[in-house]
Amino acid sequence: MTITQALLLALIQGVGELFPVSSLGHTILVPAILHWNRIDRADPGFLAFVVALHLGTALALVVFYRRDWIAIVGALVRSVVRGRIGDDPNEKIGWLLVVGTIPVGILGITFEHPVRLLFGSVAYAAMFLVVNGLIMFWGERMRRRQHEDRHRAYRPLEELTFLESILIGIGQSFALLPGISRSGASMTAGLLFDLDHSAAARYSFLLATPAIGAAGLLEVPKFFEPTPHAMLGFAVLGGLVSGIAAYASVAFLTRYFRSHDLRPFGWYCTAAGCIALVLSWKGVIR
Amino acid sequence: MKALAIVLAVVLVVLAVLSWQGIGDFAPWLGINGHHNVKHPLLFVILAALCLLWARMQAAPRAS
Repeated sequence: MTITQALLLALIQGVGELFPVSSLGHTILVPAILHWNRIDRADPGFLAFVVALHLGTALALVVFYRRDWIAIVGALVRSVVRGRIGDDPNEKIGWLLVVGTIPVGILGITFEHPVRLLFGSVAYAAMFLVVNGLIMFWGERMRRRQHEDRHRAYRPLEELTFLESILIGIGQSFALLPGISRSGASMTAGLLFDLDHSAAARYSFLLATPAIGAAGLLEVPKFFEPTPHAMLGFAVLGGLVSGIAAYASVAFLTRYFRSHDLRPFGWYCTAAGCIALVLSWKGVIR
Repeated sequence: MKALAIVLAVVLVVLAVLSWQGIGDFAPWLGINGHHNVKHPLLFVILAALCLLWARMQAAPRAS
């Protein structure tokens, strides 16, 4: 792996993990388009690099939402000591996040490996990218039908039920499929449960933090496997770049979703997925 | 519900031990094998801890 490849992969991870465009899908499609055939994805050095990218992204999310996390963790501890959920909205949000993380924990650990083996090809990544775009269009259409046509009111985040949080967590788990975006799926689910874009994005990013962080932390032992020094350097650099890109992305997206919707990302995913599908079909990329 | 949460926690701890020992190789096609993957016992332990928290949240009387 060259330094250019390391930097580009780190950028794709940092930006793609939070923009609803699927970082996993792009880490399959972009190297295929650029004909980076010499990257050995099973190499311990490359795996350590991927771990560093995830940790960089999770750390950026924690730093961006540090005040929220301090309030939520404090509220969670208070509710456990008290033995019930009180009036503080952060207590409810904390428990919603705990409950919403369970599906991705179970499904991620159980199915990640077989799903990667089954669907890790360019054609599947392109196909799921198109599906990701269509899911976002559908979510926006349902939201408009509920709120603009039927004038249903938006709900604050803490009014979500635990069942709805589990369903959003299941939505997030579809991001195990390369091409399906974690934030796109969880935001769409949030919109279906009457959250506005801003609240859905906030919940999606808060919910993504433990999942991305755990994905990195569980693989930390890979850092202790024999790894060439150059790859460790790439891992540190990649983690830094991915963290900065993730921080910039979440800062941009939280502002963007105050007044915009998911449709531009839907158009991008559908178009990019279709182009990649045609290129894959013609044998240009594989 | 409190009793159910505690029973679930105990079952999950047993599954964690079985999976850690490699005895819980009940779904080899998913790679669920304690000798090769430390993630599964860890998942069972975390779920057991969550069940105990659930039991704890059932302990206090509800505010009227």
